[in-house]
Amino acid sequence: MTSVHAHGVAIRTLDGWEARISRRPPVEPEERTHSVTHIANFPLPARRGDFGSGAVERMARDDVLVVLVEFGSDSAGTALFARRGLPRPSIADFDPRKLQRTLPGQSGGQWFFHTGERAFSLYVVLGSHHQRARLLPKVHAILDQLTID
Amino acid sequence: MLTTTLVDKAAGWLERRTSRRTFLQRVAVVGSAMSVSGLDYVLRPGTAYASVCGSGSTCASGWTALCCTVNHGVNQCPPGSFAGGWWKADGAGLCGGKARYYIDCHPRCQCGCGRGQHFCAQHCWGCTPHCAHEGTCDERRVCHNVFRYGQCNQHIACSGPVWCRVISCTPPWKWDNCSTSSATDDHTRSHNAPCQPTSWSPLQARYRAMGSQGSVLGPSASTEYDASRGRVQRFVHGRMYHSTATGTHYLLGALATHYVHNGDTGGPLGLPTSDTNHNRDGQGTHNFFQHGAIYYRQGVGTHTVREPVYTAWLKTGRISGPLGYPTIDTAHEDDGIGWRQRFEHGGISSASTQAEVFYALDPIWTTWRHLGGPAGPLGHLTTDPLPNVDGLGSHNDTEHGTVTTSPATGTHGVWGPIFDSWSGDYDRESGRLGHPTTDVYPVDDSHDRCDFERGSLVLDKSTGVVSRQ
Repeated sequence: MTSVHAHGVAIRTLDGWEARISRRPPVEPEERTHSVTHIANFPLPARRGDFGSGAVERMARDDVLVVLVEFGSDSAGTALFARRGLPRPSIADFDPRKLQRTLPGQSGGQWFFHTGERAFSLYVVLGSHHQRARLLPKVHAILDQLTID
Repeated sequence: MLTTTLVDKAAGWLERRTSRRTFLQRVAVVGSAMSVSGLDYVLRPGTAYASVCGSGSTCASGWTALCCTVNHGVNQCPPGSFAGGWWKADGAGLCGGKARYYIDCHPRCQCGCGRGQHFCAQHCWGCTPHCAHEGTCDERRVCHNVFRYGQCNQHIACSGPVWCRVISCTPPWKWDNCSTSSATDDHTRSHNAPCQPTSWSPLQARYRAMGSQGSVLGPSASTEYDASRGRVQRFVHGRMYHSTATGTHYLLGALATHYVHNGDTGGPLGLPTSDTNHNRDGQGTHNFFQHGAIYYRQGVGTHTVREPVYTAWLKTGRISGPLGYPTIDTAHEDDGIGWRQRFEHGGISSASTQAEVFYALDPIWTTWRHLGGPAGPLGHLTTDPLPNVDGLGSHNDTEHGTVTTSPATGTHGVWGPIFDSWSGDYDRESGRLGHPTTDVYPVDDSHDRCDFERGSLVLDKSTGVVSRQ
């Protein structure tokens, strides 16, 4: 088990998992960037969209991708981010259409929440909707290793 | 250079298999495909037209369609939807090498979300999931992907799926209710549709400099395309034109509509040489063109002033001068040769396109027109307004006489032999007869008469002799 810690987000990766926490440099003077965390039980490609494009195309049936995207602290008090604390997904949360890019067989779920003054979106992609009951414990297990300062 | 070479080779291949006309059209499509998709177009099977839409343009690719594809060509969220979030692709050729922004539109839920849920059930969406079937290469999904980027309108916690995607080269926080917290996905850099510009151009650069959707033009309503002269793009609030000779300029609202009705770039005004600007008096707007102008003022309407009238009006000071605003468009006289135009306080007239142009102020203009204008006994104007020598009023001379006005005697036309006598023998307004108190009028079949302050002149039409009475 290895640990990755950056930008106030920490993850202890389980065997066979890979995690990346990054923050892009802004390209516009007013643009604000925040942490983006990708955790997967398959090799993450070097070029990835913040919500996993580039990676989801490579997913097999047993694969799981967990994405944690941070927003500005001004979002924490809004209606969209009203939920408090890191969500714990359930089977009913997953749907083949709950994806940024709907690819055949896959399933997804998305949650907005805040913790302290930090706002996040948690996005989870499963390699197989049919296998969601079998894959969900993997999601829970890795989320248990995730902490936000 | 690589792109140029590839376009050349692709065009050459096409040329060997098609006519010259079709060849030229296909070269344009190939060029657009290269701009959008670059090497993707060259290295992957598929048509150039499909490559205009960039990568992942089929329904099965799982991406969402562009709003202009499903919103009548307009690059904005459809009615009943709102911007739910955005991302960008950096280094986009379609935005001049800078970031290209994608804004997801979501339908407002017609019923609530469950507790702790962010998406409502499908029967609450107000849009129906489908693949874009508008007959273009953008066949991506519509109202299907239940996902939200989340930076925009964060006061709305419950929404439907992504209806469609708005494209911009200007950050959305500058023109919509979005935060500056960015998300990036360079994989979508080439996503496009035929209703969006397919290359970076002076017109696109100007639109971005103006603020894109946040500019006075608002969202685009078409791609950029060839006009009779130059290039043009339609927007919700106007149009923008570009040519090498005249630069890049926009027209707003009624001015754009009027320009199109007057022949657009192929019409007599030529291409625009200015943007739409406010009038000096703050009561309207105007645009200048190669051969004239269009002015709008509330209550007066929108009217074209074109050559040969325009230059004469320009010399009077346009709307700040004595004539004021145009109240009709420049039009031919009934003879189809001369020109005339009515303004708030007078008019401008010319015998032909090549002839000298003169203006007259009311009430002289009105009287001259009432007496038949150039087709009447007075003929065409031959002077601008001139002060009367006695300091009382003014006059405009015409081919066959004059129209003169003074506060005490009113406005009257004097023409023909009576005018010649009044002018040559009696020194006009400042002479023994003074100002006319009537127009020339018939006494009987063989006599015309004009009354003055201190006498009358009568013309015997059988002899041509004018006598004082």
